[in-house]
Amino acid sequence: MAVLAQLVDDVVTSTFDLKGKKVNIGRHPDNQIQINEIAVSGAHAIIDIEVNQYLDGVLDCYIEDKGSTNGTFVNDLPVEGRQRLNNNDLVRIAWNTFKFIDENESSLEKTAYLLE
Amino acid sequence: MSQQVYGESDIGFSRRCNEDAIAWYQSTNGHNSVAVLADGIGGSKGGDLASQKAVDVCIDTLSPLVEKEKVDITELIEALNSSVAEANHQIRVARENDNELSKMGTTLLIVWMQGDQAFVANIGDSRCYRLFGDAAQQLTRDDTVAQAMVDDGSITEQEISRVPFRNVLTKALGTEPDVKAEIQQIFLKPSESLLLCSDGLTGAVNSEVWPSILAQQKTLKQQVESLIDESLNNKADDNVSVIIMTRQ
Repeated sequence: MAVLAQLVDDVVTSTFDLKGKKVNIGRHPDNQIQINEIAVSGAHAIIDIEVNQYLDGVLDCYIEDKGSTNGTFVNDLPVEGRQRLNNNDLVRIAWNTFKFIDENESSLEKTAYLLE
Repeated sequence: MSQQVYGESDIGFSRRCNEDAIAWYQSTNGHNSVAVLADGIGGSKGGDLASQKAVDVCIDTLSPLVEKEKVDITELIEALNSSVAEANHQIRVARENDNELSKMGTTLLIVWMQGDQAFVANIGDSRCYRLFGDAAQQLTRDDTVAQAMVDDGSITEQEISRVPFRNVLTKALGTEPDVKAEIQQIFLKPSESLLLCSDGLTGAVNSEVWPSILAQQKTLKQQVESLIDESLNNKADDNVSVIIMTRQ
């Protein structure tokens, strides 16, 4: 299962499992990942978790900004539309930084694996 | 107008063996030519055997046709399809006869050049580019999961280099009883060339800089070598193969 690990000064302060079909992120208590910080919008971003159509056992996590005031960033680039998260991506929700970790993905890094 | 073909294959910076194979054949009068490039499946024993077998079968079956002055399109497409089928069959027979080779496979790229036309047959993620002026235009579409996800809108073209399964093929020679290549017809202007390459080149040297590298060289051999040298300078982590076909 993929997780989002919150980083403060490069130290992990908390981790959030990405499970189910949707994980909402924001300041409002209804969010699965609640960030109680003024720069974060009430409904800030969403992560959709979907079964990959082509690879057995692979789940894709897509992040989307929900029109937040201070933005959602992946590796310091603003998220425009829907963007797939990849292992070790740095996700920033306003000024809060998380690392996206999906250990299952490392096995796919080898070259020219064959889909049979 | 006669044609020139030249290619080279290099093990790359970090691989233990070269699983790429290349070959080409030109008609005696220099009017027709066929070039073949295959990239064996890495991580599976026999990738080098599969790519060499694919190239050998294609050259053996297509070279008699190259000597014909003019081959009509129907005959040519049939010949390309039957070459692919025969190469697939031979790889599958080898897989069945040796357990250690049971997972081997290969990409396959065949380019047939005849007058101002070329026919490109492709399976996998080896690529054919059209070189003109200061541009390199990709003609083939990769048979990869990443490309399929671009096509269905899941990710963008720019994200391909970041996804972990960027090298996972959806189609290769030897993996299924029946496999068909995508075949396309290309019309070439006199100043245009075709470049065939394995993913070792595209992974190490961005195609946007190829024209400037090639422009500094005088001969076809120097052009091919300059791209391979650049990929080695960039520590290419895969085998690198390049073939260039021109009309003069």
